[in-house]
Amino acid sequence: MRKTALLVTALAIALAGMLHAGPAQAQRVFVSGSGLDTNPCTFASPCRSFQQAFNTVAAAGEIDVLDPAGYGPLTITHGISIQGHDVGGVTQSISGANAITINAGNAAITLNGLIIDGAGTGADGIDIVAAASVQILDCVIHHFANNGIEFQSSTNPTTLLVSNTVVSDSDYGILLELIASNSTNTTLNATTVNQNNSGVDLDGGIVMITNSVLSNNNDNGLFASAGTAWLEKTAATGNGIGVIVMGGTVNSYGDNDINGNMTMDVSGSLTPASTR
Amino acid sequence: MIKTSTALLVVTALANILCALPAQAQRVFVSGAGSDSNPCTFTQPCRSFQQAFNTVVAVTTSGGEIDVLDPAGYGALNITHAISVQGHGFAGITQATSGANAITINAGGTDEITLNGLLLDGEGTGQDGVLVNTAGSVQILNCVIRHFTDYGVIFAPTNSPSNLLVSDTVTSDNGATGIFVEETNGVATTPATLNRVTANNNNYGVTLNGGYLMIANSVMSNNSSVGLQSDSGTAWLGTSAISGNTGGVNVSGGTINSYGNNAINGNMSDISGMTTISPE
Repeated sequence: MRKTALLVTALAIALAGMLHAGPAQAQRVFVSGSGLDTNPCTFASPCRSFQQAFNTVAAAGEIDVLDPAGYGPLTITHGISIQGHDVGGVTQSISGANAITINAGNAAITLNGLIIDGAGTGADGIDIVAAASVQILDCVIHHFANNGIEFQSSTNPTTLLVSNTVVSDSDYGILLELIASNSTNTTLNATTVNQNNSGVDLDGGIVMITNSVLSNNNDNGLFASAGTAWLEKTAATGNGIGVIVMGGTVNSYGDNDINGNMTMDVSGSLTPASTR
Repeated sequence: MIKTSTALLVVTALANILCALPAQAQRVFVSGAGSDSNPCTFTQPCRSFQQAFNTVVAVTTSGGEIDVLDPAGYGALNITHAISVQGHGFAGITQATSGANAITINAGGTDEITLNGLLLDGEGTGQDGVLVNTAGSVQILNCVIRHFTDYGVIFAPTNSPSNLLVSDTVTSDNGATGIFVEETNGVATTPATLNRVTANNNNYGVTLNGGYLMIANSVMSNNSSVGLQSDSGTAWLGTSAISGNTGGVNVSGGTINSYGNNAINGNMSDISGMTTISPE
């Protein structure tokens, strides 16, 4: 009789365990301005914040923004695709804090269609601390006290693509830092870096800048202290200095529009490169 | 006095006319709040692309239109006739089943297919974003196609001619190739065209294995093997940037003609086997 009771109890416990097991994490989650973070982040019951959606979605999943609203700062710790549809906002007005921090080792991250605002006081718009690859597409990133985009990934190698994006009104627009002997490769395509102190700051690694605009940055459009830049079909105008080559190499294909800068157009030397 | 059999005939004919199904809609709708038991109208949208496709008119050549009403995932889609899918930049297909595709096209040889504004995600396990087996023409516009184990887009038509246009599209993080063009049906085909395409962080960015391919205003960057690869066929490359790849441009077979106006630098090996011709 006792044995049976024990068996039944054991079975009950096992069954309870199975029944209480969480559902498989969703691969697509939703946020809405009318959502709640107590919701399961489904289309019908969306969450309110990016962080709650991120904590709910499976790795390599997708966060979909349903309507125009601010969705709060986000720390990314695994692969993710965030589809802001040009209406998803992140405001970070706390001094020293970032809007989006990416600390995701070997993951692939896509940020598409976000409006990221530091309100003049937030530290970085997007701080890439670790990732395998990051794509920043169709975003507006502005008003940060430090960097619009800071690329300082400890993953080796890391690649960064910034495309059809505006970075503005920050101290550094795009800061590309080399960490130790890592290989970093950045592509800036159809990107506008405007009204920062320093537009693009290259401290190491390789960057290809194509079809872009570096304009009205107080100090410089492009500043290179180390690393290698390739500059193609890009305009640098209205900056303090258009391009400063202090260290490293800035290669120009001879098809860039570098004029109308306040102090001088080019400080240092551009290395001629040939299109092929 | 009408004969019973005649009366029956008349009644049957009338019944058939009255009970005939309404003409299939030219435009159907899907919504995240829709249901696949709905008729796919604006006020009663469906939930899945496949249901919408099965509902929309199935005419040859030009086809009907599927309209996406709000941001959501709409499920994998098998296309078997002409169709225009308007995703408006916020319609998704997640295909996380190993070996399965987001969109597979086995349509008629003159069928026109437009895929506009879609976000296709393989989540690292789905096989292909868009697989084209048979179609008259396929246009892939304003899409993001990422994270498939094999191909973001594989254009391998068994019919000829068959046209491909990919424009304003990002294809990234795919395990084999961002865009794979393989027109091997023998008869001369018109070139596939890639315009303002970004192939980033794939194994191979763009590969041509047979047929013709025109690439303009595009970026092939940070691909772990090669940015632009040809195994056979003829490609033309203009006003594009190829950078951050292990190999930038690599010709194993066939021909890659450059117009001499591309930025091909910052690769471990920039160029192998490329030919230069003059723009006109």
